[in-house]
Amino acid sequence: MYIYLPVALTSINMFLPFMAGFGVGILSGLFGVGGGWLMTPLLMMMGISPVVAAATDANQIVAASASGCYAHWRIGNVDFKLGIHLLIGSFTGGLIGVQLVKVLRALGNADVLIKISYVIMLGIIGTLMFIESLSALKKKKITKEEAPSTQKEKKFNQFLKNLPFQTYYSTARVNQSMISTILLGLIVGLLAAIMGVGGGFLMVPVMVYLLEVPMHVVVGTSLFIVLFTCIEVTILQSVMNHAVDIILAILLFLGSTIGAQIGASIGAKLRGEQLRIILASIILIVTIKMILDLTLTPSIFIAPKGGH
Amino acid sequence: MREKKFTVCLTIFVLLLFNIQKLWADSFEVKPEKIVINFTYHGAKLKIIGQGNCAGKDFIINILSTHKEKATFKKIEKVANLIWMKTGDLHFENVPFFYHVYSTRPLEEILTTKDLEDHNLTFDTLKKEVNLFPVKDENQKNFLWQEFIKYKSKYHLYAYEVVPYNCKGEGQNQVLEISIPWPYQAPPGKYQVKIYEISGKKIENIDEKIVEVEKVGIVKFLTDFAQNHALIYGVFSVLIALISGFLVGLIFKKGGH
Repeated sequence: MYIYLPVALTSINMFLPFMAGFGVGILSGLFGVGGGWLMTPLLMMMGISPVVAAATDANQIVAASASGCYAHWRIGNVDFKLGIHLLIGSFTGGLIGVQLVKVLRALGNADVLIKISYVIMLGIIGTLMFIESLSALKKKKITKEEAPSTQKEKKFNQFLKNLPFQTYYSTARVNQSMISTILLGLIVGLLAAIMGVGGGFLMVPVMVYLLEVPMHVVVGTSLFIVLFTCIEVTILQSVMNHAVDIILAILLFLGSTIGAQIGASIGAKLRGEQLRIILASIILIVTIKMILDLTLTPSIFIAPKGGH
Repeated sequence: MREKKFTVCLTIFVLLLFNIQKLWADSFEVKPEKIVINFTYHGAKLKIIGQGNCAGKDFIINILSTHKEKATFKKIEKVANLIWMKTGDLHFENVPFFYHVYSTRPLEEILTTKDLEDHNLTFDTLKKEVNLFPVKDENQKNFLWQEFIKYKSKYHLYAYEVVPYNCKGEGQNQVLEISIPWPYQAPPGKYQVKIYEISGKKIENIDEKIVEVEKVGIVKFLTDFAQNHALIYGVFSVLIALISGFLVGLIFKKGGH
């Protein structure tokens, strides 16, 4: 059945966004990422303009992350204190990042550097995460869920822990300096704003490897952060671009809220290193896709301004 | 006296000619004149109906939005001989948002190149009216214009197509019927429908009609809401998303997951 989307100004088979939402919702519930990297191109393939696709996706993520966050909270996987501290950092980082982008663009050729750095960074994160999870799986360290780290990382982690304003994150069961948590949130927010992405792919590894939070709590807490980030983006996109299509969003979150619940229950059955290796594989696939997008000759040599 | 007679005759001849010309023009009909976009809208069919001698003739229908667009695009260029990137802004001014041409045979078989150019019936001739900037030279302008056509065609906003037509009946009582698909991508607004009647590579008659595309019901309400009360709309969208998320969470909890 076809329905007309009032803001996207196009007609769509309602089954398509429902299925796309369901698939992305599972990933969201499993790994605590928003899934904008997958949903926005999928919506564009359905004939939605890039601006409306990006804005409506943010609205969809609000529902999926609320659903996923609720599911994780029920099983005790959301550390609200940690989430709030990271949010304070990432909001501030986002504000600084937006200004920094303007300065970088004024210097010229910044977009190329940003794009290349993002691909390299994702590639490194994905590869390291993959290698670490693979070795953890091989060693079958299943008694205690702990993110393994190298000596160098341990030294850095120790430095972060020794900073002042120590606090105990009870759900995550880690002692950390509030300064290091807010600082890491700020760096993720800064990078996300510069690179024009949601930040889930960066936030998850930071929590796992630098803050040493157990993987299951990382997923729940990351969803809590994603939820608030996307509330802000949805309202900003509505006010500034009039680009949120509520009908499309409803179709998407009909699927994604259910998907997020299923993702969360699948995640609860998997071990931390299993979750990490699947996420690492997805990050690597996204990296390869980005490399192909950047290097393969496009079919059309112009693109509308706006969107991702 | 002779001159007076000649002037009267000439006037009568011109009036007569004009009326003969108008015979077709007055009898062309476009159905529907108003296309309504409701919740289940998925495009429409536009019918061009005419009465008169249509056997052996050709027809061209040019549909274009009355609203001219100012569009900003980004060029995609290879940077540092390495990667494809969106680069500088590219502005297209005075372009119709929607431009479709339908003909009963390939255009070049129906009309001369000059006539096609004079009446703006090809994408190339349309380019002359467009203000495209910044461009280095004419070659780059041509290239970017072709890319613009590709982009518009991808979203069914620009198209050229040969369509079949039906000519039934005898002599002056013949009935012409041309059915044209109206794409759902055409946004609300007014569209000019120009119908060209052609015989022997000569335009015999041109008629113009207006088709209006309008949103109604919930589609209109939501568009107005998004445009005129953007902040409330944004908050409303967030609330719906939050309620849906938690509601599904509760349902799953009750379901025992």
